[in-house]
Amino acid sequence: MSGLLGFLIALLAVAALLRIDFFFYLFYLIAGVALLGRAWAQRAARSLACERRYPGRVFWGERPLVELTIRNRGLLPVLWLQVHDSLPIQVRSPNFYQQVVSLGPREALTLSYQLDCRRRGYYPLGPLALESGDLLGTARIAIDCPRADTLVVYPRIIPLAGLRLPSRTMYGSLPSRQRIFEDPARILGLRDYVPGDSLRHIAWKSSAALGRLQVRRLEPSVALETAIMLDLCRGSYSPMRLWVATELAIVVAASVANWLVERRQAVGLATNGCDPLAAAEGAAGQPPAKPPRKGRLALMALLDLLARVEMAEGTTPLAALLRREAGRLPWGATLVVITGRVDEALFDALASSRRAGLSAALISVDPGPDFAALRRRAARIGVPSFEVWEETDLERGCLAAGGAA
Amino acid sequence: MKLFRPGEAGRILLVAAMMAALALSAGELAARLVPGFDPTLLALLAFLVALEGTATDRLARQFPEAGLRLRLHLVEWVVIVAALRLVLSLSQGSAALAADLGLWLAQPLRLFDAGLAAAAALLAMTWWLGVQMARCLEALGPQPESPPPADSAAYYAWLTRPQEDSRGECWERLRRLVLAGGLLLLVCSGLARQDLALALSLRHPAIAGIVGNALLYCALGLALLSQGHYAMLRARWQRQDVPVARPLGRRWAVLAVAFTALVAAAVLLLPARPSLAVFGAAWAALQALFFWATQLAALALMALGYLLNLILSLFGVKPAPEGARSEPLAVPTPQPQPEVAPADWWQAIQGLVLWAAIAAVLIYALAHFVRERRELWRLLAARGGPLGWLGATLVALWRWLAGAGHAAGRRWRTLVARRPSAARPEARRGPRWPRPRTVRERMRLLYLLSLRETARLGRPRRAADTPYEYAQRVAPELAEGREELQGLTQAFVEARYSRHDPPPAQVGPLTAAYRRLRRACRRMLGRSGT
Repeated sequence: MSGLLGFLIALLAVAALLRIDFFFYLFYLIAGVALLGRAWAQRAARSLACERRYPGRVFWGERPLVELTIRNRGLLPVLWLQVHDSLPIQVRSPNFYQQVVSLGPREALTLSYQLDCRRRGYYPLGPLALESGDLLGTARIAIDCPRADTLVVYPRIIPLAGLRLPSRTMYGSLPSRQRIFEDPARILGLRDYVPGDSLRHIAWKSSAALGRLQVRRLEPSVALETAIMLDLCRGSYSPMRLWVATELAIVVAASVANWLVERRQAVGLATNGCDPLAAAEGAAGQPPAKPPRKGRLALMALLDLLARVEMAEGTTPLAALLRREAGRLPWGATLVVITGRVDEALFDALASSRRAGLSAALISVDPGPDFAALRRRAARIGVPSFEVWEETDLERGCLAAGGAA
Repeated sequence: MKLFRPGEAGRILLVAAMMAALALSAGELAARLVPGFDPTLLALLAFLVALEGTATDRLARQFPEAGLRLRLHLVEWVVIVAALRLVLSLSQGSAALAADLGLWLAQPLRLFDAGLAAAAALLAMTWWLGVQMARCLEALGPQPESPPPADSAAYYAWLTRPQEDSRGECWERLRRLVLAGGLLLLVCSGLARQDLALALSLRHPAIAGIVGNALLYCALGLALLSQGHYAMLRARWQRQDVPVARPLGRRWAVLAVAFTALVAAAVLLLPARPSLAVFGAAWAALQALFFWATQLAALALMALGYLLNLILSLFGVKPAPEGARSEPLAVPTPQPQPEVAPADWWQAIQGLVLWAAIAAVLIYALAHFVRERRELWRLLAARGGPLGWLGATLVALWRWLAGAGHAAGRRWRTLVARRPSAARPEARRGPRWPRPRTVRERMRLLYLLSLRETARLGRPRRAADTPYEYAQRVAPELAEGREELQGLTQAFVEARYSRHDPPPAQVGPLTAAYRRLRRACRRMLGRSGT
């Protein structure tokens, strides 16, 4: 621009000295092209609006389409516009999307690109940076779209072949083998009366029709009001399997929650990991526990948390978390403890919860070589324990048959 | 290697047209000094010189040796100066050209005069500006990616090279060149229309009317700067792998033209005379200020002189009387020497020699000029339109001239062969070698020349011999020059089969080795002959 300014001054001097009208017109022309071109680019840039459309929450493995709509609301065309959208490397490689476009007056342009969501997480999308300029390169205009969008990629959910969890909550929807939990609403059939049967179970209409006393056979059932205790403390995992095991723990928690919600059971979640959203809002970073709730909405809330939560260091130990959350659960509820290594404090907490009337199951995703001894010890206090090494273990049904109480 | 990239021709034509406008304005100025001079032909020549200069500059960069490049440019300038001489005379009319031709034949030194020097300087400036602008445009565009072979060490260096971008500097340089050329054009155009002495007084009337070449230069300059900026952006996007929407280039051009036309239309509504009035008023104010400042200074000097006079009179010193001043020394004027008229025969010999030298230089330059730009002629001939027609005509003309030359040569050789005294053994002449241009070609030529020397010894290379086999077979039979032959063989194999370009520094030692081998062979030949 300085060279152009010098040229214009010299042109003006020549025009004034030689008194040639046309040189003044040339001066006006060049100055006009430079200044008006600059003003044009700036004004056109101010009338730009951009919008990003995408599904805010996606499941693991999905490939959502992101649409960037850039709208020129003004009457001046945009000569060139470089669009640069920054993206997390976990969902797109290379971690940006770029395009150069040109927009006419009142024109809207939609650019689209695909993400590849193969890692759960809570990701920021953007910022979207736009750059434009004028004809002669005297102005370079950067336009920032400050709105930050986020994308939640849910953890992978593996359909479980089965899940053997103990429960003491009567009158649920899950069949049980313990006859103490017979449910009068679930009639299996009729049989002949034998002395000792309760008179309340006699089917009077059937007895009248058959001419002998008939008794209703009732199916025992339990309800699983489950709280998942997810341990994401760095110290609970061996350094070799730190990242693999913590991600596996989250997958196990998501799969268990999904299995329970599919069977219309209430499920809650408490974890000692770090929630970046909570940390951004000024909290300590540890998310508040989610009490057991039924239904899809409850599952989505749990998956949201499981998508965001990250491993933490120096956080509340799982035993302390277990003691704190066990006090808030109703009698008969089931604790599913997902952790890496089991220490004495955790055993004590499990035993206390058992004494308080809760059922518990232990799932280790980073089992040590002494897991067999641990399993026997847990069985002595009535806690079934399972070991999961990898995600395919869940598909093979290790949670249905692996744990012997 | 192609001289021009696709889509570049338009920008180079823009540059050439700008140079033509610049030359036209300088020609207009010259027309004031030389009445009857028509600057149109000079502008046309400047257009062609700018085009040719760009092509030659690119051609010269393909030659590794400075000597070859120098020869190329010397040949180019001989042709340009010859064309300029004709154009300068033709610009004053065909009668003037005919008169000049007669004068030149009689006095060849009259070919060179101040007008030619000034016009050549002007053409040199437009040539340089055109070449520099074309270089900037070339640097602004996308650079061809030519990675070294994947199995070489240079490949890793190429892969991990820093992504430097010097296009910003090129862009600034292009802008400076365009603006500097524009300023020069405005000054020339202005002075062609206005007397400088009158202009400095600022009391002359304003001049109305359109200055066509200034308008053309400004419009083309704006278009060039716009296109240069676009090329720079395209190259940056290409380097960053940013996809560009397809209609951008077309839209850029349309918007640039429409916007400039719109601004030009708006500018026409603005007045110019009030601006002149403002400057006139400013100049008057400046003059008044200057007048009062000089008056004040004179007053101060008078007061100072009076004070000094008073002080000197106090000390009794009197100023010298007016009549005591010494007269200046008279400088003797040189006496005119009688001119000695040279003899006519001496002038004739001088003219003959001079014309022979001029003709030789011109023929040599023209032949090389055409031969070295074969690719350019082919390129032009392949294009359609007037340029294609011009190229095809040049190619046809060259073929005709070459055919005529060969025929004349054959006839001459036949005539000479009839004379027994002029007959020369054909074997002594040896084959005609193609002129080497690259280092690789020079190395191959040196090897072939050394083969000729060893063949003269009676040891020709057989068709089945590989270079190494031949060297192994012949070297023991040489009394001296074995190492030279092996070195030449090694260099030939490298130049012939290697994928890497040999360094130019290798040519010098190889030439020396060839000369030693040739001396050795000739000594052996002499000994065997005796």
